Amino acid sequence: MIRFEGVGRSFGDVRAVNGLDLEIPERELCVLVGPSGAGKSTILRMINRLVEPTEGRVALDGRDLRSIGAETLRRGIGYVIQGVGLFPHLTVSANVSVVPELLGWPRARIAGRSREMLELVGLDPDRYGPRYPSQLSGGEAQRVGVARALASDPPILLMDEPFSAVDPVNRLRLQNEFLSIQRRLRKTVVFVTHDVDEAIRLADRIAVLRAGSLVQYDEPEAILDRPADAFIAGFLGADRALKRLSRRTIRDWMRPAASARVDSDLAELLCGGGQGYWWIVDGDGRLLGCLDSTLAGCSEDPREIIASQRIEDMAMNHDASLKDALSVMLGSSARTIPVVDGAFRLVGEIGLDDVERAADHGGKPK
Amino acid sequence: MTKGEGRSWLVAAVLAAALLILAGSGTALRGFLAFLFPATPEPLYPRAGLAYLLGEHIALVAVSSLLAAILGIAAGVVATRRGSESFADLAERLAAVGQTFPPAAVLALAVPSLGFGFAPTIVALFLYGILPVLRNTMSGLAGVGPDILDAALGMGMGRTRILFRIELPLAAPVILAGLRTSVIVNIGTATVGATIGAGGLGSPIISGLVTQNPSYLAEGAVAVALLALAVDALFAAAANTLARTREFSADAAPAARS
Repeated sequence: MIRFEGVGRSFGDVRAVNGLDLEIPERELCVLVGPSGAGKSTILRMINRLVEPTEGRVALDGRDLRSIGAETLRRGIGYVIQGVGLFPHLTVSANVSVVPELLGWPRARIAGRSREMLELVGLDPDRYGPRYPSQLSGGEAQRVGVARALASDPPILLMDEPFSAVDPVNRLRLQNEFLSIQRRLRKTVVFVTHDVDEAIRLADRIAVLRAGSLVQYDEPEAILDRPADAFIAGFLGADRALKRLSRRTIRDWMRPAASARVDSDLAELLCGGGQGYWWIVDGDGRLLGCLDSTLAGCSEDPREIIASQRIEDMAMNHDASLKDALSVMLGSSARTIPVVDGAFRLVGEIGLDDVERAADHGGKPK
Repeated sequence: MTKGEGRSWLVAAVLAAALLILAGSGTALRGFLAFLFPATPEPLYPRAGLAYLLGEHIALVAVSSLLAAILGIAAGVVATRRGSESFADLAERLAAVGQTFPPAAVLALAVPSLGFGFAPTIVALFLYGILPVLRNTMSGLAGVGPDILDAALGMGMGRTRILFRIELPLAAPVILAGLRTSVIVNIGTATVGATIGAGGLGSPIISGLVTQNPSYLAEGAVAVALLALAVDALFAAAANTLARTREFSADAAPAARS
């Protein structure tokens, strides 16, 4: 656990951080968010002693950081920065190996670890290991930056606007990949950003900062539901309800879906006189299409209807957010859409009313 | 090895070979100078062979440039450390003064304290050669990105390790360019040393000027020019090799960029 106790920091006449009390629990992803000049980076850099507090103290598991040598401390903390800071004269694998080498690991272990880390961030070690940083795209370079920070398996990871120099599409991908890495590794992550959407997407806990002071520290849902003041409400933006939806996964809000196998008597569904719709699946439960008795007549060939549908544009993965689901509903003008798992097997459906329920304050999954 | 790199080493080798052949074969040189200056009874500088003069010249340049390199790089490193801005200012100003001074004046001032010959010439060449090394060391080190230093520090590298593992390797191409300028300028300037008895390829030039013998003059001048060209080509080739091993030029792995 990282603890700030009455921490302040001045640079000359400028107060960067003011009377900060903050506890960052172990194995959580804590996002420091605020406008530029709010002191986010200064706070982050106090954790690895790149900046020393002028008042108060920072403690790691109860130990004052000043009692730990700066270099020893830093070798146990992963550090990712916006500019990546890869060493241009070293190959990708040499860059990833820097901290294990500082720690004096044996060669074979370093080589294995470097490969493992590149695989973790989705880069083929045989292709990317021998490359130089100048031969990487921005997104690839940032992945290497994350691999390098994780190489010695530090319990703490500091990330200073790591994805803000990457284009929006790649940023979203990097965020999602990082989230899945974090779900597996459960590091104590301190993440600085000025992007509220990024904060809400990633955080277990958000610390909102303004002019060097902590103004609210809570879980993202709580901050969205009850912003402490007008500044925070304004900073969160007018689309707070949508942001809340971006935190909620479909899995928690979907409901069971009526389905029929493609090899059953589909004409009977349409001509049997019953009103309703059925998701059509194959023998393995994979989603193929939809039959709606209110839209299709008895005379039509159900298989042709299914073949003409583009169901993959409509189906949502159960790990996607309700915000994404809403977007698909609005885009496809369907009030209910199918939910699938990673293998495109039907696992349920979600409707506009479910999304509305989730958007309500304090709405709980059933 | 890339194509351009191979070619640059080849050029350096050809120039060096030409210089060695010129210095090694007295008869060929004599014939060439006699052909150019048929009026001169004795075309070759009589007091020392060209190979010997070349050796003296290289010694002058090597010793002075080595000193300039060591002290220039050291001063450049010290000047770029945190909190030494005033030293940086002073060092650069002193080195600039060293270069503003005409080498002949440095020689004249050095002779009373160091006597005639090798030592005062070394001093003059050293003062003359240190500025390009110092300046390039400082700008090379200043050019290492702040993100790179921040990352290195944040990962727990010490200041000394950062200097030797990160900063100097990254600044190496710029420092090498400074060394190149320094050495090339010194090869030309070292001829002035002959006026105070330091020997070298300046001897036939000075002698040719004094005795109005164009053949002596040509012997020294051609050799100095060839030496400068050969050393410059060596530096160019070394710079190419450095660039390849650092992969700063992307042509070594054209398929890799995505």
